[in-house]
Amino acid sequence: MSYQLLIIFFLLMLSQNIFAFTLSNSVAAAFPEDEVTINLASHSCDNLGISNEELLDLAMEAVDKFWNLVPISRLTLKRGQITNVDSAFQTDSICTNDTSSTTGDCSPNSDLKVSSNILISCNQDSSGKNFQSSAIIAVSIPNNISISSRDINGALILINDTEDNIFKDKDRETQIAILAHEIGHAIGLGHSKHEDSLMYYTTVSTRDSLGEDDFDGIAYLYPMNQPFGTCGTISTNRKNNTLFFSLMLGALLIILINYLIKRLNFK
Amino acid sequence: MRKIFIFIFIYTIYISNALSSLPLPSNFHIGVGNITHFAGEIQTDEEGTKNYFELNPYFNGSIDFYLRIQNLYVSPSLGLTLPLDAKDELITRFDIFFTPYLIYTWRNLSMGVGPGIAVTYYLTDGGTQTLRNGTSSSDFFMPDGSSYTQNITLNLSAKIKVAKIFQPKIETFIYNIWNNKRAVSYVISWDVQL
Repeated sequence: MSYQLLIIFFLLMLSQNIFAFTLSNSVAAAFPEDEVTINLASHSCDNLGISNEELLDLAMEAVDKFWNLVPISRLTLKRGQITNVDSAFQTDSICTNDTSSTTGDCSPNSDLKVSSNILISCNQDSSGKNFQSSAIIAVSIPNNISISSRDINGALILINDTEDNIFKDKDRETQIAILAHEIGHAIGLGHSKHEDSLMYYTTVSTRDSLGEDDFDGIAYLYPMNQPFGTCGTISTNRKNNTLFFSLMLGALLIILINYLIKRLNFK
Repeated sequence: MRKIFIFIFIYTIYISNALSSLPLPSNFHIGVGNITHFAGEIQTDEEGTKNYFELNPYFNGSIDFYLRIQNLYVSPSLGLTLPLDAKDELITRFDIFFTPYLIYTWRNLSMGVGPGIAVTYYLTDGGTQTLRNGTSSSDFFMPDGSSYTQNITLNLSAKIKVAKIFQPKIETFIYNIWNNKRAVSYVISWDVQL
C-alpha cells in the first residue's frame, strides 16, 4: 500500500511554476469560436502614413507571425473586411471614465460596442482619454463580454491616429509587433512583467516570436482539445479539478502497476 | 474536463485487457532527462533569442512487450515534467505525455514511432498584478481556476543501448503535423533498464 501512497503523493507534487500571464478582464472571458475575424473600420487613417489595406495587411502579418502559431491553442485569427462603422469609432473614447483601457476599471463606451469579432479603427479622440500622451500607440479592450458565459462577443482596437502619433515612425516589424500586442488584449490577455513576452507593456528592439508567457496565456484561454473537439476547457473550480485530476492519474498508475506486478509474479 | 479522465479510465481498462493477450513484459525502463517545449518557437529574451534548448526536468517510464515478430516491441511510455524554480508561484504548469510506441531494434539501436497524447495543465490562484501600462501602472487580473490543453502528437524516439544502466535516448513530439501550428518538443534523456 505504501508504494500506492507514494505514487499519489508524487503526482500531487508534480507541477512547474511558470511565468505569470495576466488577463484583460476578471472573468477569463474568451471568444467561444475557434476562428475569429479581424475587421478594419473604413474611415481613412489620416496620420498613420499607410492606407487601410496596408494596415489590415499588417494586422494579418501580426497574427500569422505570432498568435496563429501556438500549437496548443485552438484559436485562429482570420482576415476580415474593411467595413463601414459609425463615425464615433473615429472620434470617441474607448472608456467613458478616465482610465486605462486594458484593465477592469474601464467602463466601455456603449457607442463603440463591437457586435462580433475584432474591429480595428483609427481614432483621433480629442478628449485625451484614449491617448493621454503620444507614447500611447493604441488602446484595446474586449468591449462586448457576456459575463455569465465568460464569452467575448466583440473586441475593439483603437489606433492612435492623432497628428503626433509615433506609430508612423516605427519600422514595419515593430508596427507588426505593436498590432500583435493589441490583438493580444482583444482576445483577452493583459500585460506580462517579462520583457521577452509580446504582452510586455512596451515594444522591445527585436520581437520575433511569442514569449513563454504569451504561449501560456493563449493556451489557458483557448486550450486545444484534440481529438474530442475544440470546446473550451477552462474551469474556475480549481480545487475539485486538482483533486479529480490527481486521483485519476493515481488510479491509472495503480491499475497499471498492479497489473505489472501480477504479471511479474507469474514470471 | 471529465471527458479526458473517462477516456483515460476506459483506455486503461482496454489496455489492461489488451496487454493480457501479449507476452510477458520483457523490459522495464525508467529515465530522467530534459524537455525543450516547442523548440525554436518561443522568444527567451529581449534580443530575440529562441528556445532551441532549455532546462526542464523530465521523467519517463516505459515497458517493452515483445511481439513475437522479429525485433518488434510495443512499448507504452509515460512522461512527466517536474517542478522548476518559480518566477511567480500563482500559476503552475504540469505536462503529461503518453505514447504507445512501436519499437524496432537493430543491434544496439532502438527506434520507435507512435501516436501520442500531450496534456498541459494550468492551475492558477487569481489575484492581481500591478504592471506598467502605457505611461503609468495598472492592476491586471490573474486567472483564477484551471485549464488544460490536449494535443494528439506524432512521436519518434531513438535509443542506443550502450549498457543496461546507460541508454541515451532522444524523443520528439510533433504537434499539429498537418497545419501551420506545427511545432516540435524534444526530450534528451538517460534511460536505465530495470
